[in-house]
Amino acid sequence: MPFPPSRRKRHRSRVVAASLSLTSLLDIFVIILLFLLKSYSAEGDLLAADPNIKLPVSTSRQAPKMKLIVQVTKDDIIVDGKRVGSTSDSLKTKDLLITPLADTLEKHSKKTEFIARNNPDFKFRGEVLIQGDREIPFLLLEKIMFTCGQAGYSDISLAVVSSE
Amino acid sequence: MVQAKGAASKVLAIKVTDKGFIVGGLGKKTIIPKKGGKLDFRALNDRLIKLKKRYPDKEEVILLFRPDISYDTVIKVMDTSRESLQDGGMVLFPLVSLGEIS
Repeated sequence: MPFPPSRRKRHRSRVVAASLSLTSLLDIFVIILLFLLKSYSAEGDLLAADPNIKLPVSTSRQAPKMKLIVQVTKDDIIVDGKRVGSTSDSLKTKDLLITPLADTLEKHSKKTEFIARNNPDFKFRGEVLIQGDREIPFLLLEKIMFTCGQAGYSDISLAVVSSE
Repeated sequence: MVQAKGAASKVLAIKVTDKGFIVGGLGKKTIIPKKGGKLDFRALNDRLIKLKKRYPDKEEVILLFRPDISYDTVIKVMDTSRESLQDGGMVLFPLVSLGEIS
């Protein structure tokens, strides 16, 4: 059975007026705002760490730029976040051209060219960044580079992890 | 015109084979054998530094690989041919073409 509150408690809380110290609160908000502004990047994470891709280590110090990303894991080929084909199937074909990859790249280049036509500040440069797993064979790399070239993406960069 | 033609015909080529590197095209053809089962990048780098000193205008290199070689090795050979691995990092041959050994 609960006890009734004592006489002192019954009178306590009503009298206290809570006042917010606005100045120090604003200080905190300004700091949070500055932190968020500083850590926010409109370009997004360029080299999103994909657990399936172990990039090779290199001594190169060039910073990556925003471009179309082709990821090659041991199992899949991914363009701009969407899977377009399997690695093993692409390796099996005799032809250097990987057809599903070529189709997707073609779509992307058409889209980019459309934007470029309507926005004079934007140019289609045919740049592509290949993020390949360090285990993939050279033949696959060659096929992917050839396919990119055929689809109009002739400025090819290879993503690596800096050794420094 | 004639000069350009002559320059184009002489391009450094590095073949990566089972036995090691074969450096040709510029200067004398040299074979850099594997060391303890591994490719000897240091020796290749030393050789390329010597070649760059003798032909300072040359920028291009053609890298030839077997189809089954790993992407990691491709990057390592590109690194080795691009700049000196020692301190200072002298630029050697930054314009790379890739090819396959048939």
